[in-house]
Amino acid sequence: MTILHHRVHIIAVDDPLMRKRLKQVPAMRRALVMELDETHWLIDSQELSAVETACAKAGITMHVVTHAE
Amino acid sequence: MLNDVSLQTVLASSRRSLRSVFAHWLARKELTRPRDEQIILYLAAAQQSMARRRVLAVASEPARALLVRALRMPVPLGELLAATAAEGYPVTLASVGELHALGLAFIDNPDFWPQANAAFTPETAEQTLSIIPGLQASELEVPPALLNLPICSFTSTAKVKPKASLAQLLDGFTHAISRGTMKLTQEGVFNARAQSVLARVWKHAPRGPLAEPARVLAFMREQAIAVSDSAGQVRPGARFALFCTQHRAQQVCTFLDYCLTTVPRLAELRAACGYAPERFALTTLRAILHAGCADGWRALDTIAAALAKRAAHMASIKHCPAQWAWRANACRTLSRLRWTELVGEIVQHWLEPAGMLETARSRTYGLCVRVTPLGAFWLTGEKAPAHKSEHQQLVIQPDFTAVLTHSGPLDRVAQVLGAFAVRSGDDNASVFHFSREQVQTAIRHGHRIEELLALLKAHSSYAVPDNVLVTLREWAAIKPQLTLFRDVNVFTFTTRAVRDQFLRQHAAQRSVAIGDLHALLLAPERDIFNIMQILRAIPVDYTDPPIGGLEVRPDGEVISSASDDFRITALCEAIAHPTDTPLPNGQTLRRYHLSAKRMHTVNDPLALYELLLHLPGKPLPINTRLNLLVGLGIVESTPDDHYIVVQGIEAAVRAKLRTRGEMRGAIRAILVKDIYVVHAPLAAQLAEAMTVLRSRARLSEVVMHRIPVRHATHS
Repeated sequence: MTILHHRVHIIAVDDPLMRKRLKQVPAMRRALVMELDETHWLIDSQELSAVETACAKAGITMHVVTHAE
Repeated sequence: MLNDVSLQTVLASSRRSLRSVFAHWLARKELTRPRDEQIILYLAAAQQSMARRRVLAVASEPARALLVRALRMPVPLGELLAATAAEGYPVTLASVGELHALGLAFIDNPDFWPQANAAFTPETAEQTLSIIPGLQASELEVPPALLNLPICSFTSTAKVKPKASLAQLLDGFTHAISRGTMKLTQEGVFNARAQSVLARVWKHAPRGPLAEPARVLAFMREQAIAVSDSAGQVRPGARFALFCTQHRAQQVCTFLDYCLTTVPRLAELRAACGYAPERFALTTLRAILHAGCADGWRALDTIAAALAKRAAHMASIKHCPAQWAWRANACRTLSRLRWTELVGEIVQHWLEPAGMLETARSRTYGLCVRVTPLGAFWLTGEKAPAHKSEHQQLVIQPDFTAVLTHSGPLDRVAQVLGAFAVRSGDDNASVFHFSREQVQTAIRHGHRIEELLALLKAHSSYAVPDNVLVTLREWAAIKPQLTLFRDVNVFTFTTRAVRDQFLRQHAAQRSVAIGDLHALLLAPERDIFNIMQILRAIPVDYTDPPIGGLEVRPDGEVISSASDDFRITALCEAIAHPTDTPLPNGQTLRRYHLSAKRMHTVNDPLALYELLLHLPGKPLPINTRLNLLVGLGIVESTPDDHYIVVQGIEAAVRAKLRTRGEMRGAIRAILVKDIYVVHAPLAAQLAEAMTVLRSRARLSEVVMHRIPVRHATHS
């Protein structure tokens, strides 16, 4: 049976070192709901702002993609 | 508009003779048939284009205009008449009678049909029209109406100030959102920091209801330009970048259109008149201004008089066809003074502050209005006004600042610079400070660095310093270290082959394969819902809490009614070990069993336990809770599985116990409402402390029945 997960937030991190670094960020640890695979992580919507702020403070550049309009 | 079956029902439910109506459609021989047969023959004839053309040729222009409107917009009769009249067509109640007489359309309820002993009442105005089946708007030839009013010949001595500060207001608001300074409190109002930012932005804003910050935010949320998350933070929405890159004139027009659709209307007035006079006044005013937007001044009194005349004409029952006329019109008509007030309100509260009109007072004509270039763009949608200044200078300095002089509210240069830099100063002279953070924020929100560089080269008074060009390009070219897919849709398939086939089918859209079974698809929401229906996919909405919880069976198996939800699966995997069983159809059945190893490796056991307790659905039984507390290591395991609990402990006593160092860990976790599990070695001390604090709580013992777990670390 196919399932549509509607309005989820996913972070894609290709670099293994960056993944390691991100997992040490407390906001990211709180926000991480599930690792869908090695590079794609499902993020809790309530913690999304905290993750964005934490990444900006840590100097981690982020590219935001939303569903096409 | 209803279908022919409904129209048949409407006609059959009337006792009135329709012979004269059917005479336009049927042959004389057919008119001798029984009434039911006549109705069927009439409906069959109405579906023939030749017959329709013959009858439509007899219909008057206002009746055809009314019919076109009714086909495009199925609204109540009163609103339909008002909307058609406001566009400039001379429709009256006679036009409605004419549609009935020719058999082109009928009021849904025969009790409200035009007849000599009935009046047109507000209730009649609430009815809708049923149009004959098969009629298309393209069959109706209706020339465009013109509402020409005389031009007032006088020269305004007042110096006209550009009234486009609404554009700067919207610009300031979007900048505040992109910098993350807009936040709402729990009550839905702006917090103190946002208010101080807004106070700066609103310093030069036009006064009146148009420029309320709450209205701007509501507009941006409605248009998906901004969204507010559960913490109240206002974030850029899906259309943020699109809105920011639009011409400022376009932004103002979109905002004004939103405001005008939400103009507060008086429900009582609408009920009495049968239509909303505010909307009628606005649409008529727009049609009048559109008829000659390049012309000069028009007196507000003349406009109001034209409006009153048009409203009175619309309410007229004169010249109705025989047998299809109302006796009187019982709806309220507004006085000319009231129309003047309404027009004045629209002009002074909405159109003038938005910069669409300029006003001047003449000794002969009173208050007059004239369409501005921005207003002409709003009315016609052509030729957005551009800022022109021969004296404008743009100087780019090597210290990453740009000085811009002689700017204006609709200046494209200032708009683009403002997206990439922090602005200080005013329209006479502004300084823009470029920074890495600003440039990267602009890139993140959809702007392109080429847009800025091309603008700098085109408008700079001197050569742009090389270090600025190189550094700006460098700041923008930094590869993002991570990608956040926000508010996206992910499909989960049963097998990898099905998923791969899906990705091949949607190769035209941007998609990402995740793991073996998931596919992220970046497509507009309507496409996603279409795909969902085609695939018969089960939707799980992550903007709502999960719809089910977890259940732990006596044999240790963990099951859920919402196992499709990633959030529930994540909780399941935190405490249980998955076992995959291949099925004959190639799919895999995954079952979960409580795992001691997994429970011991949980990062924050207490937070996980709280999450499990508050899941929707059937609450976890006490024994399961005790097993989880022991498994997660929140409560130490005892050899005889006897645990001490405290019941009825007061909040004040608990608070006092928390302040005592040695007693802080005595109460471990909540079991059920009012019952807490106690750390066994501290039970005696706790009892003493409760006696001292005069607590009525009592200690007791509960026995836990162990649920079998996988990877057990003890016997």
